[in-house]
Amino acid sequence: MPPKLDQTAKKATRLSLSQPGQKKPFNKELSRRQVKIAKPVDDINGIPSNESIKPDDQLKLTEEELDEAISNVLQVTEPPELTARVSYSYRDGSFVPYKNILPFITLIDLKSTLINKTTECLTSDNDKETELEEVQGEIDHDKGDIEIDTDENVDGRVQEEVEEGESEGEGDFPNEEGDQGEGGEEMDEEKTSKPKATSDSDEEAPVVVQEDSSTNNINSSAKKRNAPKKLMNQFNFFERCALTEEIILRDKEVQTTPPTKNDFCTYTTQWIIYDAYNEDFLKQQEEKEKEKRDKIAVHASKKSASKKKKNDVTEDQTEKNMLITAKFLERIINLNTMDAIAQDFRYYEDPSDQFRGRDGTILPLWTMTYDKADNLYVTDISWSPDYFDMFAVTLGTSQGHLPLTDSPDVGYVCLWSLKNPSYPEYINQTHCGAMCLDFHRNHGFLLAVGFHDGHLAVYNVSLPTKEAQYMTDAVNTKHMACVRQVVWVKDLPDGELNFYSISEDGTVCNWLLMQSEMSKTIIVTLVLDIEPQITLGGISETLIGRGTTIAFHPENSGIYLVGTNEGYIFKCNTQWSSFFMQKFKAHEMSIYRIDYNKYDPNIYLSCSGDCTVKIWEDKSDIPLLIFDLLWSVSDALWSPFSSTVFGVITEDCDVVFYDLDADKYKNICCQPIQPESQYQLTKLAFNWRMPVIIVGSSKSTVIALKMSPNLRLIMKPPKKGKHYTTQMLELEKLHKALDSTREPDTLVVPADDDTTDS
Amino acid sequence: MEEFADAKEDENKKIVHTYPLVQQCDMSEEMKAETVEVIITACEKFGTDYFAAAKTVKQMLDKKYGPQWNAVVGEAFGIQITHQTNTLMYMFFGGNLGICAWKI
Repeated sequence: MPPKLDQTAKKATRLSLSQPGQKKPFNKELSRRQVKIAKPVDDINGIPSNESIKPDDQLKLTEEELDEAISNVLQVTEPPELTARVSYSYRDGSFVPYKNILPFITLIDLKSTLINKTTECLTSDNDKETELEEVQGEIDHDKGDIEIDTDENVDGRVQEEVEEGESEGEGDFPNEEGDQGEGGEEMDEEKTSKPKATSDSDEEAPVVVQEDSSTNNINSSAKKRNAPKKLMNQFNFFERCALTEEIILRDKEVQTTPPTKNDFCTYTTQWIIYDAYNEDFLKQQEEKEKEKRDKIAVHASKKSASKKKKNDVTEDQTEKNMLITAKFLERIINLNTMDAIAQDFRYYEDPSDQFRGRDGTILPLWTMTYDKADNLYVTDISWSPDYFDMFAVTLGTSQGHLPLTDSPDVGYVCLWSLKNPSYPEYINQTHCGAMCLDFHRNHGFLLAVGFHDGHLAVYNVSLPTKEAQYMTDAVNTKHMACVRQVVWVKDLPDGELNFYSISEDGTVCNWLLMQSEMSKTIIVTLVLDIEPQITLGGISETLIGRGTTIAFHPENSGIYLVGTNEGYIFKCNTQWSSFFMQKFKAHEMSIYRIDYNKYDPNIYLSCSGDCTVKIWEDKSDIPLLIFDLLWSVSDALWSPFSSTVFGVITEDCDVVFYDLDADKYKNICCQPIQPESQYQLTKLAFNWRMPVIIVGSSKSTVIALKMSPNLRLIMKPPKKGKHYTTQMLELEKLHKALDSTREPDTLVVPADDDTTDS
Repeated sequence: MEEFADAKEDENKKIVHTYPLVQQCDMSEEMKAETVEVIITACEKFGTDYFAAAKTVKQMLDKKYGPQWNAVVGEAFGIQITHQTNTLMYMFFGGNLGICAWKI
């Protein structure tokens, strides 16, 4: 049986599904695969199955024959290829070598119309397969036999030869093998005609049966079948939610943010390095010094406190700058609003003076009020020696006021500027009513102020601080009563500043500004040599004059005049305090002012509450002239412009000017400033440069007035003849005016007159 | 007398400073301290061999803070660079050396 021998590599197909029992019948045949297996094995297999079933044509063997041992050798090698095989060629009429490489021979080829449910043609139509599985489930058994038959046939034809080892796996593999076979076919099919789908599968099946596919095909198809797919159509129901999305792999690129970068550029040389080191070295040294300083500061806590104070001052500095700016603004606004007055102040000269003979007028300019202190008296006025448009006033209680009754406990020192008449430049509130003040002639920022309670203070108005630079001691040094006037005098030869004060306690004191304090020297006590009117217990008290005013001789600084409340005038010398050079009763009431003539120091005037102004000549206790103003005279001053003119203010708000040269009995100007019901005038001050006077009132009001040309007529030196200075002419004018009033015995002057006349 | 004072001032000026003086640095404090130390070590070790010093600085910094450091050591040079922020160190050392190290 040559075909049987060739079959070695061939594998069984349909038989795989057949049961052992079903196989049995085939086993009887010699053409079975089991032929290779030893017969006894066959028998052994046969015993458990069905021994009774025996084909009719089975050989009847005797027991001996049956017992005969037929040896069979299993070889590892494949059966030797038949090399010298020949076949008879009818065409040639001779034997030709058989060239078929395949180790089997196809005897018959039949096409089957049956499909095995597990055949691969179904799997090829993947969707159908699952469906068919169920449907054909029943058919399986029926078909099984049929299939087996076909298989049998196939087997019969194919004449498989399987090794013994393979026989065991036969049950498992056949399906696969068959699949593979068909798969191979299918592969080809798909390659050739893909459109063919399920419908073709049935027809294909028979083709599949052919088992001429190569092993390679089998392998590849096997791989393919591992991933069956369902076809989507009306028979296949797919639940949507059961569908899993196919994961598609993609390439995705991500860029990280690049690290931030900077550019840097420099160059280095030896000198740059050197400089850098030096700079750094200096810095280090500074730091060291700072540390040292800090250490010291920490060490001495007091010092640090003082530093803090300094810081405060610097903070004030910015504030001060701001205030200065605001002040400028205010001043400009005032200048703009009061432009007309400012123009008058400078340029207006009353033209009517030409037709009025010697009479003159005064023109009111500004009225300045410090609102905060409108119930206080202007107690003193002093022009600044440095600025002709600035003056200081003291605000306090009235001069005759008793301190214990209802004196207000405040006073002010104010600096006014004509450039800003709306608000004082400088305000300093004092602890009680300020009564008098005086600017130092050389140091215009030093202001000596006397107070109602006897205190004295020196202020530096240029400093931001409002504290007094010098202040008297309440226990030892201060005056016992109201200070009425202070006067700076010439500095001592060693440069120490000093001033005099006169107080109602009857003393004249000299005050020397030391390093930190004022030293007091009582120059004179104003003792009145009159019989005491009151004796207490038989002890007669000496009466002391209450000083009200003091005037220093313009040329001889050692001589001064003092006026008292009782109407006495004392002429004293700073050198001798034990006696008075002159003492006389000048007025009936309190003397308010004594003023030396600006041109002739031998002539002075005094004004008093007894409504009179008297003009005196030195060394005489008889007045040269007496002017009765019918009202209490608050102040009277010689004009600085003309030797014969003096101004007087009265309490009924009249400003009166007299010119001795023009008229000795009648004033040349009498002008009421305000209705007397409003307030009374208290103080008068001539500007030393401009024809302007300042008048203070009892309501803290300060009024600036301009004198008309007639009130300041100055003798002009004649162009021809002898040359006389204005000074000489003014003196002559004064003496000429006074000559007629002089007593005959004092007429020594005529000689002078002659000289001047000539 | 004045001359004497001048001479004295000159003497003061001629003090040679050799301490490390950081001119420009945008590193963190810790990194800065370490970098300065690295540079000092390298410069002191190699003296006038600036090439070796720069190489050492570069290598040590690479080791410490990751690669691509650059270093310049020299008495006079000019550079214009782009560096990663927080990795620049420009300092003087020894009174005559300028050192610049930065990371690309």
